Amino acid sequence: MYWEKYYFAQSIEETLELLKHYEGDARIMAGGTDLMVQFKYNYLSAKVMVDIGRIKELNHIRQENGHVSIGATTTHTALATSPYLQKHFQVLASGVRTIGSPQIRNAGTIGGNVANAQPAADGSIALVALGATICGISPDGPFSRPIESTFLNPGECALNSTAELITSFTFPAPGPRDRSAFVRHSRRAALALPIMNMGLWLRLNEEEDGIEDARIAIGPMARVPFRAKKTEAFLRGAKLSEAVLDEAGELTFEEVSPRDSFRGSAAYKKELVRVYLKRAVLEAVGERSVGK
Amino acid sequence: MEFDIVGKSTPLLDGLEKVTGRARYVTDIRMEGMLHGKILRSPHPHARIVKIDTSKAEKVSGVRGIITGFNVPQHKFGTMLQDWVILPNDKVRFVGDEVAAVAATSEAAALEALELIEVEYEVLPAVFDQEEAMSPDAPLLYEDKDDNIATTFQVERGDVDGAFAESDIIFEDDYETSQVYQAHLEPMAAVVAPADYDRLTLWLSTQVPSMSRLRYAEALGVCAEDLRIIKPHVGGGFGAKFEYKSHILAAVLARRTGLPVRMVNTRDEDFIAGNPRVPMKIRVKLGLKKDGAILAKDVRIIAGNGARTVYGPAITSTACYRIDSLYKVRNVRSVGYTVYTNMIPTSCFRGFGNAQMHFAMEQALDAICHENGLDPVEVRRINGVYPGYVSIHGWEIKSCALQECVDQAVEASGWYEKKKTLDKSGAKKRGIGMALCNHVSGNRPFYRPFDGSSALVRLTPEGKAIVFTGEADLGQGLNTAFAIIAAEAVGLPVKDVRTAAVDTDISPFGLGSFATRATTIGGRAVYEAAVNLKEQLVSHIAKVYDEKPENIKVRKGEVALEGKGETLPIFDVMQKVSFSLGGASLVGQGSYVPDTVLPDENKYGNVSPAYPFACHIAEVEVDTETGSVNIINYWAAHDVGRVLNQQALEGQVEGGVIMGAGWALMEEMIVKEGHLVNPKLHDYWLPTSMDTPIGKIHSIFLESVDPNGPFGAKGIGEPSLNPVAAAIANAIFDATGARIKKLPISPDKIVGALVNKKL
Repeated sequence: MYWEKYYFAQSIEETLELLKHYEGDARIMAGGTDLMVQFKYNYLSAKVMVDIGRIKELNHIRQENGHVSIGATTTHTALATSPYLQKHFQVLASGVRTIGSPQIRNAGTIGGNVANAQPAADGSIALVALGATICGISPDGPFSRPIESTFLNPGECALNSTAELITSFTFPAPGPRDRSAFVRHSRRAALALPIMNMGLWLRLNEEEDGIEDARIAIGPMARVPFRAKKTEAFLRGAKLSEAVLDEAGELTFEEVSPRDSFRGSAAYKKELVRVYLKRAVLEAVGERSVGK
Repeated sequence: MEFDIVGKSTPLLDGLEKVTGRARYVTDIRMEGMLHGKILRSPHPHARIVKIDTSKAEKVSGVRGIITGFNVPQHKFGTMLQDWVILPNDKVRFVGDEVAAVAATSEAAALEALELIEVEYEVLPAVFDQEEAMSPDAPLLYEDKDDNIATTFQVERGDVDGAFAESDIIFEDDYETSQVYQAHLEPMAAVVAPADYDRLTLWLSTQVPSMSRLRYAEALGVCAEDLRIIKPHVGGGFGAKFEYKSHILAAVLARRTGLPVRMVNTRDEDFIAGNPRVPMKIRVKLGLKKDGAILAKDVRIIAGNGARTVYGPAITSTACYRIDSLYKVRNVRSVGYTVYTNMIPTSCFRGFGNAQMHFAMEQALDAICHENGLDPVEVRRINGVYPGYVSIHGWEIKSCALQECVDQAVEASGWYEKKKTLDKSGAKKRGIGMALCNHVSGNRPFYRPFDGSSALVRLTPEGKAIVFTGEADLGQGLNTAFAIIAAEAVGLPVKDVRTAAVDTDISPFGLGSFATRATTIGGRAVYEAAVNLKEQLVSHIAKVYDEKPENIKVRKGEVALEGKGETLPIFDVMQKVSFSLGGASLVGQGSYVPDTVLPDENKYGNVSPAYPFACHIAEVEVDTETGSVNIINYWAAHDVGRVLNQQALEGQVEGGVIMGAGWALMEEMIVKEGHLVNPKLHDYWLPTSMDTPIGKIHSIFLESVDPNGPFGAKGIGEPSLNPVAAAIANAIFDATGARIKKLPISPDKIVGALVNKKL
């Protein structure tokens, strides 16, 4: 096999102890849908695996004290089928709904999705759009920081998975005027990485005819999940209209600078961004809310 | 005629064991002492082999044998041209080319040894595009040749230039088809074991057991009789599983080590060293009268053969002229070059060149109709062949329901209504497109010595029948089709008939599954064997029961002795008959040799006993902002001669349409400087079930009852794919006005065409 020992940790404390005991030779397994591929192709090796899938407190979706908390080992399937998320956080529920295949979604977890630090990981894109905070525990104690600070480079995350553990992601509880959407474009309908994916979160104004606040995350447009901040700034305070959305799409088109890849050229990705920005807003607010 | 089994739906007889995982494939075989074979493959598209040092690899614990070009014979052999060696000692010619092979007691040991084999290469300039490879200054793949052109096919008939001069419409355009992977579920695989009498037994995942045997005997320097080939269940072939290098390497290693050797490709190896579809650049020039009647056709094809010849030349020649039996054109000129490149060797893929040509021809006709205000349905009706037609190349059309296919597809799809009413107002536009198709059911020149088939049907003392054939079921349902044919002809329930796995020690010689021939030609042999068996059966019953032969009726497993007014189960009857013969089974033997000819040096002569036809109509929705194409509806009307198994036919049509849609819209082997960028199913966009228009593919079957096929049946495997890419391309054009002539019709190309820039 690819490792010498495989532990099912029963608690967060035990996980940290195991990591400490093996001094860098142990890695966390949280679903393994990416990890196993990396093992198979010899991109990665580890002597000891610490499976955190049986630690109950890491697997939850709950709202508490004005915040939503998502446990790190919550599976994509659990997120996609959660009625609560479907109602209040479309961006997350539908964002993870097209990851891989049913089998991959049953095994793969949101914590693993983020820890892999891919610039177009659907879960990461959705959480960035929600302005999530990543919570965890390191040998020095618990920490929490903005999720965006976690991503350093493709495949490179600020966390040390041989010493630290993600416990949960939190973001503000839903407000009555909050809307969100997730859009994705790939070369096939399943088992395909996106050519472009986009998470959008909006807060409408009191009259609900304009936008008070916006967050837009797009992948794979940069080395990390990309925040379309210029478009966000333009949308803040803008009234909802076809013309505004067209202009917003144009701005997004301008501010992304993707690279050519075999999945799609930079020029095509830019075209997609323009189209999907508008589609995402329409999906989030409903077509009828947008004036001509 | 009233049938008991033919024309009904018979679930595949091996379906249950396959879906429950009980069926055993070559990849499942394990034996005492079996070694694992692995192949060292070239990392360079073109390089001279300076030195191979295996000394470190030999020291790896568990390694039992290592072969390289320096310790195997260097004689040349091949499928069509003599450009294969067991392993080369001069050059490698593509990324994935076989350099050495190791057999070891474990896969891990074999892989470790591969890493320790030191090969010194001198990298050479390489050429990847088949057209560039024709240029005089292109690097030469084979230094003993003057250029990289492996073969040139030429045919000219009628007065081509005169006919163009008489034409009212002259159309000329270029099309390009892609190299795509067959993506059979089971990878290329062999297990080879030494056997008594100094023989070798080869369990192969193959569509051509008997032909492989001949070729491998040639490669190994033995008689065919020294090789026993067994073909168990095969997990798909689609043209890929012809003669294959790794089978030979496994055999050499088995001989050298005296132990069984298992050689199974990883998926990556299948991608970089399988035998994908021949890519073609096709220039089509057509001359037509005002009403759309085709007067002249001039075609030039440049086909990529890859680094050695598998069946590329035959595929190119097929692309050059097979379609001349779909339309009644009398003035034709074709030239087809099959050109070596430093790319993966290419070969058969469902459609065998005819699919490539359909992509060009059926789009060309569509464009001509659009530009000249002609009705694409009428133009196809005017030009389509009919029963009794003899093509300009001497191909004799017997059964033909092409016109009826057009009628039924047009009616079922609501073609004329949809042409007028499909919504093109928004960003998502609907369109409808049509393509016709023809094919063969057997291709006389493919195996030059002969075409034909023979079969045995054995009736056991229990009254059950076993069909022995050399034709290969690959999962397409051939074994079930043969059981249906035998059961119907003898008068048995289909559950009491099975088709044995091919075993060259027992089965008759059979050319195999290609050219959509197996059901028609192999099935006809099974039919003849079954008829022969029944004659024997009746005559023995007459003797044993003292009944007149004309009073004996065998049906559904029961024997009616009408003179005696008695009906007995076949079990009871066969017990008596068999015991009266000392326990013998009755064995019917039958052959079918089609009345075809090897085309003469001018390529004239009827190549196939039966020709299937089809008309496909695709209805699509194109998202013009993103380029995504959604198949809304698909109608496939096929002249199948006779329906043998309704549900298996539907399965073949649905599989062909989905495979064709994948080729048309999604699949792409992306190659950079000779290296495949996406050698994984994850990045190779084969359609998943989420991408397939399941439930929207409407099969329509026309029964023209062919005089040569068993019960009149013709083939379906390839015709179900041939017209798909063109029908979809035409529908996309109808929806958007974008005409994409280079496969795949990917979303970026559609958007690029609509905004008029390259994306």
